[in-house]
Amino acid sequence: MIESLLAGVDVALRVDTFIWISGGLLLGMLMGALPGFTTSMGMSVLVPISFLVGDPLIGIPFLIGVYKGGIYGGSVPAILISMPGTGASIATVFDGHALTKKGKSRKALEMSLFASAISDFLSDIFTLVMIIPVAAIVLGFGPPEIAAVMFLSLVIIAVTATGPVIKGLIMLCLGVWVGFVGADPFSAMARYSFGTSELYDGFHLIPILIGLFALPEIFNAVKEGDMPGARVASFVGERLRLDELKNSLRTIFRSTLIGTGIGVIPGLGQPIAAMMGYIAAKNSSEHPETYGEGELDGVAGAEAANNAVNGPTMVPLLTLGIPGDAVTALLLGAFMMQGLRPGPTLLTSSGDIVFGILIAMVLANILFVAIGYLTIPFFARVVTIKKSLLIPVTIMLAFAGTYLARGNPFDIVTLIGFGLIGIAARQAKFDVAPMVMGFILGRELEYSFGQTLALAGDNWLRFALTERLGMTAVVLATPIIGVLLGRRMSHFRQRALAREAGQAA
Amino acid sequence: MSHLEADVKFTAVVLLLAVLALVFGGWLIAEPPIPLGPDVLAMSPKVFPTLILAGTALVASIFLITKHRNGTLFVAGSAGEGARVGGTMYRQILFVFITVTCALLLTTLGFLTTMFLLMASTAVLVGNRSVVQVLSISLVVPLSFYIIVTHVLRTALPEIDFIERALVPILRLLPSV
Amino acid sequence: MNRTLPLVFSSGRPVAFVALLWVLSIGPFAIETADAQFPEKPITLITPFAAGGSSDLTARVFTTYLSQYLGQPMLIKLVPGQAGQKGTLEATQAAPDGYTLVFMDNYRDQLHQYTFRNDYYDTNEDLVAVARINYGQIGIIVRTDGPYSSWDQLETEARENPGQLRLSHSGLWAALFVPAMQIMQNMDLRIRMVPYRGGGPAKAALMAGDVAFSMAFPATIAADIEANLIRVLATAGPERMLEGVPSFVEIGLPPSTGYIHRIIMAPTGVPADRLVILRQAFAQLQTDESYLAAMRRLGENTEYLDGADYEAVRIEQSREYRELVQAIAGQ
Repeated sequence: MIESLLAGVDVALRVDTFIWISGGLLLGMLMGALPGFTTSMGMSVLVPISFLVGDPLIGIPFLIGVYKGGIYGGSVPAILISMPGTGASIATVFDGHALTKKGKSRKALEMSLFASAISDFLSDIFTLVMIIPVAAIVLGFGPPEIAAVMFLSLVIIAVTATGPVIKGLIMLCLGVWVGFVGADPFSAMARYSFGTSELYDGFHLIPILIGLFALPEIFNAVKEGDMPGARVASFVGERLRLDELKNSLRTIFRSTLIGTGIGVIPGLGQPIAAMMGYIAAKNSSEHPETYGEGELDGVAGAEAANNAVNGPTMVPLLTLGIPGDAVTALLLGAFMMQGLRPGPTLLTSSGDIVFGILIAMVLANILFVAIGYLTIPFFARVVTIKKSLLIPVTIMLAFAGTYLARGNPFDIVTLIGFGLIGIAARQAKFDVAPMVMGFILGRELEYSFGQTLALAGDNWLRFALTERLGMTAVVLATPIIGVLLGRRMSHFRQRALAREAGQAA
Repeated sequence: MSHLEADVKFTAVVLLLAVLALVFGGWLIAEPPIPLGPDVLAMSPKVFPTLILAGTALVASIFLITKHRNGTLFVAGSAGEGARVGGTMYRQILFVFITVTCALLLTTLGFLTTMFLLMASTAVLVGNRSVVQVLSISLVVPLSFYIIVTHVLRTALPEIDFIERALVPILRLLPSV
Repeated sequence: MNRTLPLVFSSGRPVAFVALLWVLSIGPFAIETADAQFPEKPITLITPFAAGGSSDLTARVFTTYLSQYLGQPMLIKLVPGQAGQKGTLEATQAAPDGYTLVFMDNYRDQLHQYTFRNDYYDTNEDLVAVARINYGQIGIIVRTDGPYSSWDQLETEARENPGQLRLSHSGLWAALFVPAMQIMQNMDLRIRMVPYRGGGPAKAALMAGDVAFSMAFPATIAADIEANLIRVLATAGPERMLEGVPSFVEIGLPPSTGYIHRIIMAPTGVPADRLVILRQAFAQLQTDESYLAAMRRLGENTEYLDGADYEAVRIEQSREYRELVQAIAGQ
């Protein structure tokens, strides 16, 4: 093992590797910043290029660089124009965009960058060192455990949403129901499709994201309208100060743990990690009620968590040959094109290459910070453009990005539909975040739940108690955690309301 | 005169939809044509939706009942408060109408035309008064976007034949990626 | 009004102007037809399979080597979901210009018409076969460190504990499910079927110990067999594929059980000349040494069949599956 590790170091530290990784990072950031152009789309365009490079040690870190850059890149439109580029950036919108409106867009972008890079670095080292034990843990998470964790996540999300718990629950249920439209996951029977093939396909995430988060902002601008010189913010603000970063270090470390943990569990993914990281940051703070109005810590919590997922996600791919999501599937293809066969034999037969790639990943994070830092001033300046010019561009991006995601004109209809829902929800003071997360998680939860039923058979009680103790523990703990969190959030909300009333008086 | 609070209206709609979906579940959800026992089929397509819809109806009802108990179902003031502020209501409706129309006509009119209409109208609705700015942004931005996406990213955007063919010579001039 | 368009609309000029417009609009047409040599841009291969299964892996191998025979890369577009119907629907709705193909298997092609009520497409009418890249023979697998060292052992246990033994499969009416159903039918066994999103996750479930046995194609398990983690208890076909391991016919199943035919199809209506180019590329691929070696490494065969010849196989299978479904439904 050690020889492979050392050989890997040797191979990773080459100039051309660095150049290619930097290129990948930059491309990834740019593609991530383009709403609707998902990371996996970008990677599939670039996979042939990685093949042409010839050397797996350059080609594959190039793609991984694109992947990392993409996850961070999605936070740029989320922060600047309240348009999450991917599901991973949902939680970044809350405080990120609020900060932009306060004139602190540069700080927000830089915090996002540093949080992402630090957590990615740490979780990559973890993956490198713990790859074998983690592989064993990954296998231990079957459908029952995944269903339990998802159930817990959904409850936490509903309970900690802005506003009263019951409103969060309503939006959550609504989101899950929206996910039901389409084919059922077991027998592919049509549900709520009214006989049309578009609805049989179900709704796609990107138009829902853009519709719920970005269109209401645009609509607001139209409502306020008629102020030709208005800008989102008149200046980009100062840079991130070192003490501000230090204040959020605890949050970053916490989110790294959360993200790494979620990355290990197959099938969960960045959106959940980001939300959990954000909620944990909010909950651990002394003033949770200010989160959502422009807390740098909120951005740190979300972005650190979603980048920490990247490293551990590679473990099932490298050790078992099983990709966990669309991106790792592309990496699988890239590996195979290079003549490598991910699976149990990969570490023994090509250990030096695997470790070389992992080490290149770790080092990529340093480049990540450098490149990101250079691009931020360019991005941040976007908000200083007049609203009357920026808003039309935003709406074009909304439409174009939606179409780009799938090439399906029905998505545009979905976009507008959910835009209207988002506008109505805003009027009615409902938080849309639980709805989106309900949509993302609902379908997965249904599938895992069904699988659990199949595994359990007739005697589910015995199954729950003897075979799947972990799942049972989590399921029983969920209502307790839900109530405790709900009470805490409610307490702080009352405090905030009282303070507001006091100020108004 | 008082009217229903916004969140009450929203929740009432949700409750109505949930109840309708529950009642008409049989029509709205298809059943597998071949009977398969529980050994083979993990979960019937109806199970989860019924669970969630029941939950939705329950939570929505609790919300409405609580509001009723607290006496906060209605609020004072007229429903059309927003409309008092000049042409705001008119602008909002126009914006919704334009976006919906552009959404439906995207494939018929093509990307560039639809985006031109959308951007130009939005720019005016948001307050831009300069004809030069509005026209240039509505022409240049979609065009550049189109070129970047189709040529560099090799992804398709809906466009009508005529414009697509007109752009072919320009695209050939650009360095290939 | 004179001031707006003076030059054009004064006498004598309109004709020139109109002629210029004509030339300009014909120009692009002319450029396009002169250069038309299919394929001019990359071809998309819609792959309606879960990531990491044998079909996905096979696709990644042959698309890599096919590019040189096509002159353009073939890009995989993974569209899992709805038992493959999502990707298939997308393919049938794509423009039949030869730039969109779909990777299918025989179950989706011929079985699903009987098992899924589908108003959107008909594989027989909407898709035409370009090539069958290979076929696979499935095997029954267990963990090497598990309690079963032979099929007889497993069968006995299943018979003594009806409905208790769990099997992981890749989805209703998919490649791992159908042979399992046929086993249940023909041998009168009751097995509990646990669905997973594809061949890869199904295998993972076995490795985790969540299920007692599963089924898999060589590509998915080649590395695991090498590492002695997985044991094969029986293989499809009339003859033995591995030493000491019985064939499906030996254990009492019909000879066609457990075969997957991996086919590349195109939406009906692709111009004949383009279809010929595509089919030729696949035929030429069979002479490529590195491709053949890569497939061997994968553990899969390269039993290619030209699309035109495969059409006959489709008809045969249609009949076979209709009978199978009637037998199951008749229960």
